[in-house]
Amino acid sequence: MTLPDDSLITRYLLGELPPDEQNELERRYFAETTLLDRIDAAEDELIDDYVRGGLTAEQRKHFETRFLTPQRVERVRMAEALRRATRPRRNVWMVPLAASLFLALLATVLWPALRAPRRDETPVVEHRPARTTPVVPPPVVNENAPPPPPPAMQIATLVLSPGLTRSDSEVPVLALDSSIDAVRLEAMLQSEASLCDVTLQRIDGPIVWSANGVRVRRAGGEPRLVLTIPRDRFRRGQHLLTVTATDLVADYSFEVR
Amino acid sequence: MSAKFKWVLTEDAFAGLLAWLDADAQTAARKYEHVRCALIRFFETRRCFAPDSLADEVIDRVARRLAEGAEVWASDPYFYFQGVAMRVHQEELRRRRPVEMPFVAAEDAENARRRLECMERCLETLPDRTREMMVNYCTVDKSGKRQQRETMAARLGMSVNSLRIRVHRVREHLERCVTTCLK
Repeated sequence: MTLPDDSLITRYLLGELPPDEQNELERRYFAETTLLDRIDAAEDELIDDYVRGGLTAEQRKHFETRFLTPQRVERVRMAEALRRATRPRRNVWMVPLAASLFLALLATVLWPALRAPRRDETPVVEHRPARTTPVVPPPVVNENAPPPPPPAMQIATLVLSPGLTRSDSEVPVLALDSSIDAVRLEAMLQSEASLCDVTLQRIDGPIVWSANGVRVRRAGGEPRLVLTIPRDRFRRGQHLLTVTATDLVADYSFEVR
Repeated sequence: MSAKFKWVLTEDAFAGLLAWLDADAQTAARKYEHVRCALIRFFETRRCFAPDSLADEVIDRVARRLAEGAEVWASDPYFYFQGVAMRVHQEELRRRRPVEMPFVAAEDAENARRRLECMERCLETLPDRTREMMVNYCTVDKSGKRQQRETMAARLGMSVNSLRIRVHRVREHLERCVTTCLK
């Protein structure tokens, strides 16, 4: 079945569709995930157009009187912040920086020429004693003795699933003590992608670990990512693992205790 | 006077609902998430006061019917949810009018500044390729928007619709991040 075009979805969002067409579109998006995703994306476009002044007078009126709700006002503010955060800026510091770089480059090119000895000059040869390195005898190794076993690495494992809860109160807990060397996170995915980018951060904090192009494992059922992360990247408190792929951006939060 | 008790969704009823949606647990979980999102969209479009709560009310009613052993006749479970949603909406209209938003109240300058700072910080936390995609996507000018998005999608090896959906997912992530940052 073909998906409805953008203008129909925009009219739906602006409350401009007659009831029968509205019901038909709703009947379809209840049954088709793809269509619901399209409507979500079209809503972003509509909000962006409103923020950038790209709607007609009538659309603008319908946007403000039929589309906006308190939750959507918040999304409009987010869109405005995103627009400002991503717009190209005129960087006033670029001119002095460029001048400094040019001077540095000029000095690098010209300095050897200025320092090069003229043909009539006799080069000065310095005589320095050669440096000696003390010779350390190699340790005596008993080749017959078995090598000492490497210390066993203690790994804690946490499996993270896409949430089915209605609230954030049921956050998975990762209990760590000083004996743990690394953490193995298994994130279950709903994705067709073969590679993902991953970041780990503390809630409202900086990224503490990241990896690009991590291969998705599919053997034995659901696709999942398996990540082994050093223990020292974790602190007590809430953490957020973000997985991005071509068809997915998923957040997994968990608590470290 | 008889006391009325609100029915609460039990673990068994929830499991029954998931089993009704699909025999496979993972598929059922995905269908459940989809139904809930569709219900929220349904109530949002009708400018209801609390779309999330109303969506949960619909799910609870369907789960209850199933738990009580009622036979649910619908060619597709989704249509049954839609029917219940229409009834819940009618009841909601009798309880209160749709939300009225005659204008967008401008955000005060201090809040807008903090929100921008948070957005910049949240953008910084994205992987490089994702951040670059967002910046390119958001900075297209209106006149060449279609052409630029087609070029961008081709470069990323996806359709324009897939690109838009991917950008939507990143925006959702950014909005959650900014909301946390503002707290």
